[in-house]
This record gives sequence, C-alpha cells and structure tokens, in this order.
Amino acid sequence: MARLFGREWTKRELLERVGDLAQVAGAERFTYDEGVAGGVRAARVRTGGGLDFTVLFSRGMDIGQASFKGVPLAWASSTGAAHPHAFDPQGRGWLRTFHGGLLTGCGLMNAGAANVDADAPGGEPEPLGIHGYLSHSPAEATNAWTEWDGDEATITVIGEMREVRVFAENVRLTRRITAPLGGTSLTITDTVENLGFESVPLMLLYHLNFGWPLVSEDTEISYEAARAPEPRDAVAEPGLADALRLEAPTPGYAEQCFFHEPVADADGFAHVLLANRARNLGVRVSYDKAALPHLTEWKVCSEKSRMFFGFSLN
Amino acid sequence: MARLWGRDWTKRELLARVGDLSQVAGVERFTYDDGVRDGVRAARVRTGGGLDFTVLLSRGIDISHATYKGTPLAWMSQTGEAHHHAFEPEGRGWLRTFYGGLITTCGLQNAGASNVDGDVPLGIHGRISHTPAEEVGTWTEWEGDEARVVVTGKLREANVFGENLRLTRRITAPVGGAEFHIEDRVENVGFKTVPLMLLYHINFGWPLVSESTEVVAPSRTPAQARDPEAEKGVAMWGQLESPHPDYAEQCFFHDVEADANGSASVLMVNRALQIGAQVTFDKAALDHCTQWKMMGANEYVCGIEPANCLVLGRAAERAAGRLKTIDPGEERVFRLSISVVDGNEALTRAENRLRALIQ
Repeated sequence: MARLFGREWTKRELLERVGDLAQVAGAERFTYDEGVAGGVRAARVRTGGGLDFTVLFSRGMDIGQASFKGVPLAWASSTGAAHPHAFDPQGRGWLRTFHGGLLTGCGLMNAGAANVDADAPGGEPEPLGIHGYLSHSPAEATNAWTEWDGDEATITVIGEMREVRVFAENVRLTRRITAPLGGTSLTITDTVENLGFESVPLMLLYHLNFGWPLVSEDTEISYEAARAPEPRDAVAEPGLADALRLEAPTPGYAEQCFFHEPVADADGFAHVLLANRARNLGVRVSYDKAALPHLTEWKVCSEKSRMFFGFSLN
Repeated sequence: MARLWGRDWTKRELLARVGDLSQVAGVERFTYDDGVRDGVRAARVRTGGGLDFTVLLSRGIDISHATYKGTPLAWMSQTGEAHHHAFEPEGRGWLRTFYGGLITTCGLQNAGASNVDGDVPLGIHGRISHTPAEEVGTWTEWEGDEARVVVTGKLREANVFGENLRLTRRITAPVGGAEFHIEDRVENVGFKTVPLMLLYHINFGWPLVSESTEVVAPSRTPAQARDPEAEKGVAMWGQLESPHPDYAEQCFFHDVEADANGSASVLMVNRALQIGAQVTFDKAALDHCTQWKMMGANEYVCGIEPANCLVLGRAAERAAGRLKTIDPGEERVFRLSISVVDGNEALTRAENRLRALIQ
C-alpha cells in the first residue's frame, strides 16, 4: 500500500479522497517557455511522499530541480537549464550550459576533463570536450506515466538518447526512472547498447550535484570505506582530512576532488550518505559497484554564487 | 530579509549559497505537453518558504496545484486542467473542464448557478476561468534584502454589442513566505453599465481536507443553508467528514466578520497534520462568502468562495436586488490572500484571532 501523510492507503481509499491522483502524485509533461530553458521538454514527477523532481527530456534525461517537502536538494547553476542547441562541445564549452541539477549525465565517449585522445578508434588524435555529449542529447521514444499494481503505484519516465556519428560510434542509452507512489526515492536504470559494428569506448559518469540548504557547513558524507580517500591533485591534497566534511561558502575556494571507494553490500551495491544533521535531512546514493567502480567527490565551497557538492559515479 | 530554513538571510548571503535563486525560489513558465492539458500555458511559483503553486495563464490566471512542504492543499478534479478550447459555456458544461485547483475564478457576467436572466441564458460560473491571459509577465524582484515573485496578466470579458471588461490580475508571493496575494482590477472599458459578478472558487482538498479538519468562519449571524439538502447539515458546517460515496453537496452562506482593516478571513484547520490555510479578503468588495461542503468519494473538497454575490445565479441576484454593476470607465479592485498556517501553535493563534473578532 502507498504510504502518504503518515499512514497507509489502499487504492480505493486514495481515490475516495482525490478527484485525480495528480492531486498528490504523478508525472506531468511540459515545455519550458522562456529564456535559456525555452523549448526544453521536461516532466515534473511528484511521488506524494514529499519528493518532487523534474526530468529534462531535452537534456539527456538529466534531473534538474529536486526537492523534499519543499527543501531543495540540488544545486542549480548560474547557466539555467539551457536548450541543447546552445551546447558548445569543444574544450570546456560544456560549462556554459552545465545546469547542475540533481543529476547531469556525462559520457558516453568522454567523461571528465577535456583532452586529446591520441589513440582514438579513427586512427587520428581526437579532441574531446569536457564531460561529453550525453547531457545535451534530446531524448526520443519518451513516455511518462503512473501505473497501479494492486494497491501500489509507480511513476515511470522513459526515453532514449543516441550517441552517434556517421563512420564512428552508434550507441544508444535507454533510461528508465521510476519512483514509488508515497516514496522518497527514485531509481535510474540505464541500458547502453552498441548498435554499431565496431568496439568503441564507453565512459559514463553520473554527476550528482547536491546544493544548499542540503549542503551546508553542517553536512557530512559517510560511507563504509574499502580504502582511504585520495586527492585528485595538489589543490585537493591539503583538504584531504576534511574531504567528508562540507564547509560554509568561502570566497576564492578552488574546487577539490577526491576519489573514494565504498565497499559493496551483498547485492553489489555501494552506499554513500550525505547527512545534514542541522536540518535532520540526508540523501543516500546507492549504485551498482560492479558497473560503476569509481566514485569521485567534487567539493566546491566558493562564494560568488557557487556552493555545491557533487558525486560522480563512473 | 528573506526567511528560509529557519533563519533570515541577506541577498548576498543567499547568493553565496545558490548558483541561481531558482535553486530555492522563483517562477518558471511552461506549456503542458500531454492530454487534456496539452497547450495550456502555465507558470510554477516556488516561494522557498515551502509554498509551491502553479498559475494557469491559459485558464484565467487561476491557480491549480498548490503544495506546502510537499503536502497538497488543493482539490484536483477528475477533469484535469483542460485547454480552454474544450470549454462548453452553456448550461452546466463548465463542469466538464472544472479542474478544481486552489482557485478557480468565476464571473464576470455570471457566477453561481446557470440561469436565464431576462432573455439571456447564462452558463454556470461564467467564462473567466476559460479566458487565456494576455500581456503576461512573470518575474522575481529584489528590494534590498527582500524578494518577491510576481505573476501578472490581463483577461478580457468582451462581447460585440455587449460587455467590454478587462480584469488585470497581479499575484505576488514573498520569497521565504508561505502566502500569496491576488489583486484584481476590473475595468469597464466599454460604454454601457453592465453586471459584474466575481466569485473566487477556492477548492481545498485532501489531505488538508479530512475528517480532522475544521472550518473557522467567524460570524455574528448563523450560517444560512442554501437549500433543504444543506439544511440537514447546517449544524455541522464547520466540521469536515470522511468521504461518503452518496454525499450530496451542501452550501452555506457566511457573513464573515471583518477586522479593523476591513479584511475578513476563513481558516481551515487540520490538527492531525498540524497545518492550516487562511483565506483573507477585502470584505467591502467581496461582501458574500459561500462554503461548499462536498464530502463525496472522489469529489472530496471544501470550497471557500468569497464573492460579490451568492451562488444562485444572476437572475436570482437581480431579483433580490443584490446584483452589482460596473459603470463605463469605472475600475473596481478586489483583494484576496491565501496563507499557510504551519504548526499547532500558529493554528491556535490564527484561530483565536478570528474567534476574538466576534466576542
């Protein structure tokens, strides 16, 4: 049964109380009408359990805004949820349209820093922009619906993104996002298929961007470690001891990245908790460690309109 | 300063913590893409104080979904927020596209029952909630360390050889707040004196509405039942009930007492969820208030309807000598606010304040 507003309800009991289930939960599809987001197709999902998030179909089915009982969970960057046609894929151009949001998908031919792959499959050195094309690929074969199964209901959003070039890769990512009615969780299942006839690189990184007020000086990260965290570079090194403790926004803060390795549970899933004790609110990220063996923490506690904290799973 | 997450913040402190104010509050314009609501233009407003509501620009700048900290406040009917082109204005056709929502505005040439006024047939609740807005603006503005979200637009109620009215609506919601304010200016831009009926059909729904919910409408005179059906329940008007499959709607008329500023308020109190909602309106302009108690299964809603008329239709208003009119060139202003009351202490304070008005 669905748990809503402090108790369990059968389907009939719920339907007695609402004119339409949309009163409390569901998925609504829309297109943004204004500014940099104008033309971006999206779906707003409300679970009824307090979780409310927006899936951006035009942006690789990334998740933009997300809130729990009205408290924002995600960082929204200064760029806005820009239309994918504004994407500048060269070098660090991706940052001009990096909306942040709860999830930005990075991949599929590059994830991470801009670089030149000297041994690219085409035989010539290939320049690769930061974090790849995925988050700017508009979805096709999309759908959003709520389905009952007895007294439980699930909200589902699906779609497919293509990562393709004539004479090169032909890869399809099918994303399915589900959220149980009355729940406080969402689950993403991505299936990547190589429809081409050559082996190609596959890089996939889930850039999860938690923001204020979930992120604050009262927020800590915890997980069961398989090994000690490591700094990405010399900038991160002095901050290693405080890698799991977030800070108040600090002018001039330079981003610090740390590599973490949580242990997997019996089902192969690793879990990381971001807890804000002052707000009595936290978020747990669980992921299939066999498919996503690496975990990067991106810690930015700068002033001038930036304070966020990201997890990258890849 | 804006109050968010339990403390006050300056503008600079807020901007240090967000990439964009939209991380916590603001307004976003969009068009629905699917089903009966396909093509309906809308704006979602988030105050950052927990209040999140959707304004339907294509549907009379009315308010559909509204939640507070994730708890729905409004009844959403089985029709969905249908496109205004689906509107059937005759008779009771309006009910086919009455999506409920937090506020459906009724008027301007009829509000209440369908009727024939002289030789003019008038559909239930008029046309205004199916009028698409023009000259629409949505923005967030700072004033020092305070910010507010604003939605504005204009609606026309016009008929060649007939009325020519403009309604300019402005909705404002302070950032960090749990309230919004509506200011409606109705102008007769024509050259004839015409009727003016305006009713705010405020539709509270589950879980705010439940068997634990009470309605507080302070009045010096007893509530009046609209008809024999309502007569049966008039003693219980203030206590809401569980949904019944065979419930028939009951309507009550309240003469709500105004405070020293001329503002009258009706309060919904849900002690089990420790949440309430208060409707406050300018009593001079909105001199009637109908309560719609509809405890039906699947049609489970309590309406609070401040208006410049009762809900019996224009012919009945005219016959009773209550019908309001607006002269050529005249402008009439209507003000209404809805605020959320969070927690038992705040509920008690709000309840005591209203009850004190009639002591």
